[in-house]
Amino acid sequence: MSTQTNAMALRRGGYSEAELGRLHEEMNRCALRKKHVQTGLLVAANTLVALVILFPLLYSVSVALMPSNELFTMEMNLIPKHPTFENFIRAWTQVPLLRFIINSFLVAGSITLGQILTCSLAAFAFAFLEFRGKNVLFLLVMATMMVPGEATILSNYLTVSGMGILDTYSVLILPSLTSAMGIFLFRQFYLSFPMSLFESAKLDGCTNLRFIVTILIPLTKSAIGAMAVYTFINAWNMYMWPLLVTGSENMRTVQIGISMLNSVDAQSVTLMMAGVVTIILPSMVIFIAGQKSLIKGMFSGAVKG
Amino acid sequence: MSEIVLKNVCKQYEKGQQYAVQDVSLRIGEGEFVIFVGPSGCGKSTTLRMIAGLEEISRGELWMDGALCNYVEPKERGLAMVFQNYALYPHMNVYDNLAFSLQIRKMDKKEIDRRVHEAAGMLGIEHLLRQRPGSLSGGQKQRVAIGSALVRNVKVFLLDEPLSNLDAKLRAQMRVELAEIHRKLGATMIYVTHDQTEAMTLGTKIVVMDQGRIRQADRPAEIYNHPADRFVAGFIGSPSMNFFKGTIRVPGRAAFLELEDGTMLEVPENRAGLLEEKYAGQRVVLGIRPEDLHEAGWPGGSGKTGHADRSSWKLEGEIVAREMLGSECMLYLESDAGDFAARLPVAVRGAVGEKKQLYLDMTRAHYFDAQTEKNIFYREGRDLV
Amino acid sequence: MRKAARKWKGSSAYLYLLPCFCVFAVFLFYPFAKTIYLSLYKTNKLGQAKLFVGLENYKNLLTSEAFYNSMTVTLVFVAIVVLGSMLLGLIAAVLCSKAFPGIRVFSTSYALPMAIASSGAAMIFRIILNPTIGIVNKLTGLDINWISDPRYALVCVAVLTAWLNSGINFLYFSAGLGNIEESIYERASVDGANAVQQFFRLTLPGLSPILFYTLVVNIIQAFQSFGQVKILTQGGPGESTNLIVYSIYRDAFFNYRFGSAAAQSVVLFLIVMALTLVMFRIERKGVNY
Repeated sequence: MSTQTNAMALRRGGYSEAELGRLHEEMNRCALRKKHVQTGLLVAANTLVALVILFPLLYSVSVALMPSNELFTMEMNLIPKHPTFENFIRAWTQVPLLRFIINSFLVAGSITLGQILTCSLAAFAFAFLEFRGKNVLFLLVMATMMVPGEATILSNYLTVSGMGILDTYSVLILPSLTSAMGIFLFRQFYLSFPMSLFESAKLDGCTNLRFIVTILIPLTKSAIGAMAVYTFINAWNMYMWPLLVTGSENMRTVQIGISMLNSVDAQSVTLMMAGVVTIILPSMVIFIAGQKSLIKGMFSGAVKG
Repeated sequence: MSEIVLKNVCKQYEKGQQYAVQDVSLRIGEGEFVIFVGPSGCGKSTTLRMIAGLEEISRGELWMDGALCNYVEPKERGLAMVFQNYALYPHMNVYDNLAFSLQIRKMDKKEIDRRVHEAAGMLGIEHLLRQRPGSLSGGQKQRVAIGSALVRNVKVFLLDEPLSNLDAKLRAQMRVELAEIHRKLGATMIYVTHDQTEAMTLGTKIVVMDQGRIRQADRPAEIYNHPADRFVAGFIGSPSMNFFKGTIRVPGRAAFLELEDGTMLEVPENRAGLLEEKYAGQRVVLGIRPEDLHEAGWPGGSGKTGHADRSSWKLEGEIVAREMLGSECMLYLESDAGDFAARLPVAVRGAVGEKKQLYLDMTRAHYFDAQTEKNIFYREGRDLV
Repeated sequence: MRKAARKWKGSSAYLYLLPCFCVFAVFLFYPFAKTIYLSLYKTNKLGQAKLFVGLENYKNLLTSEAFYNSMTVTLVFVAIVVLGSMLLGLIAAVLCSKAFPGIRVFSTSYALPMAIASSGAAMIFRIILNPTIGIVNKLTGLDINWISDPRYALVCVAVLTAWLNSGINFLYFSAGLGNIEESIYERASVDGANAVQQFFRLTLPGLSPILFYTLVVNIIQAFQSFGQVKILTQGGPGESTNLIVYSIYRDAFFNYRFGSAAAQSVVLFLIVMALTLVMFRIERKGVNY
């Protein structure tokens, strides 16, 4: 068949209509098959890579559904033979998982809301208002991007312990209430609007705050969406800071609470996996739901090629 | 020789969907400059892309040099193509853009160099060779795009709306240059445009398409003077042809066209026969180009007896706009028979709001069947396949 | 009157900046200065500066083998992570650059790791890499103690991190590929370029601006890894996975050597700053053609 492809450049003449029609059909089939094979290969390659990338996640779900005696064998055990939700039930009853989840939702939610608020206000000032020292201040904000959180974490720890707010919600939330990246992202978005948008609103007697609420925020939904998804997931996944500043079980976020289960004894491995799956789920759901707006907000104009 | 034949070529993007291109049959001879023209979405670009091999042909045959080429890869077809948005490689300088197609064929470096400079010289872009496309103006990019097709030394060039992103002045200039290149190379050029001026000035053959079908394929003058149907008549020519709905009346010996406002225009003798015979009492559409309307009447009884009464060939309307074109002047009028435009000498009298009577040169008018919209007097003279 | 109003209008701008600058001041500028300050002192167990020692903390750092080990380990780690995560992201992005049935599901899968916490991922890997019950040994038939063997531990942590970071790289590269105009591929196919030539002559150069940007972002991100080390290896076995952030954490909160930890923090800051400056320079100059 493959030699046919080269012979496809058939000479004209010497073929009857019927022969031509038959050849035509055959070549059509050939081309169609080639297309199918190409698509098939692409899907196969994708499936392979996707399986590799998803493997840790799929496997963790599988272990979470396994009775622990199935995990502790020398046999191949990719998929549970007798899947059970017992691990999840145990995880929910033996560990204050609900408390961790509520804590994390509270903390991540507050951080997300706070960042959107502070960043849009600051970005508004940088994009639309004129004031003394604007460039210097903006440069200062940009410069904060150069300071990794890990480099200031020990001084921050000393600060908050001095303030006596260790082991509270505020200590988890306060340091993350703004972000240079958010300010930058919003400002880029605002700059893409014509200044006349702001000027005509002013002429109509619109106050700055009203302008932000009624005009800017609706116009920047995609940026806000991207920011919200990104911030929430990062806050949900925060590890080092909560590890340092929370002590009591009541204040633990999901990541800290679950990692306290970190051990390899027979009873707790499957339970731990059930816990891990449980706490990955919310961030995954939010990511999948917000993926579209994340991509739209982060890459429309922000990354130029 | 390089002959391209399309035989009942169809394109359907999804099964069950409308055809983007339907039953296109056409022969393109060596050295022809064929222009596909039509409104956007008419299938002209799709047809070109099928010839290039960028789109699969759903049905029908594409023959090139006597070989069936439906399934031949684009790179094996021996064509060069110029894209609407130029499709320059942004990370390569102009030299490498021109040389790319030769470099990947592992051609001798010296030969590449010679050809690049030859093409660059022909297009006057030799001083730009070291620059990146990003720093070029639209016109320069266009030249680079054309140049990178030229270096290929192929017999067939495909051009997909190559001038549509240029301003009017540059467009006119590039038109002249393209015609010059075509004359010099003698290669076949297949050119897609939505601009009927380009089509008229460049083509040796114009293919007018609409809704996926060829409406007419012929030499420019033929298309202009003998449009096959109302669509072609209206599409080719700027400003476009005036159309009036009317009915053929044969009250006595002579045939008349009655317009909607009751105006009776006597049909000239060379048209009368067929209209009397087949269209008496039926609705037709009269088409007349703006330049075939005149200010002065016909000299009464011009001497040739037996002729139609030319003094009846007139129509009155209210001037709604007047446009100065320089050497000529456009009048736009409204009447109960329909709106119409006339191209007249600058000296023409009449201001906006005034009534104006104009005379129609009915010998140059076209008659279209009101139902089929076909030109009643069009005969397919040429064998196009 | 008008002047006063104008002045008010002008200063109201600062009101909008107030919330974010308050946070910056308390949790960024102040601790930043304090870290530098601490790095010049000997401290007590509570982290209070007790004795000014000048650059001694730095001197000690630069002469200590542990620090050099930590830097070497970090560099090797960063190299593996960046290479791995970028390659993974690029492969996934290229595989998803042409439409095919099911593309939405696949592209979501490829981006998914960016939603996973380093701590959770580390716990999953702990089971996967377990020498007796771990699926990796079972699948490969090997008998390697991945996490407790100093030869493999670093690679394991790096692979885990590369996996975590590949998600966002997929998004970067997908955006980059989307920015390459489709028509230049069409032109190339008419010009006679095959798929391989198109990839190396058009796709890779077309990605180059975003490639540099992604590279720097990835390096910075890799430098800041912590959770996976804390959970998977605690810096061990030996010191083989003692990445710089983990080393800061351990010095400060286990050994109570805040001065030394602060000095290391300053070094980390300098590295990240240098990289960020490089990134800004690239962005401003635009590797954009």
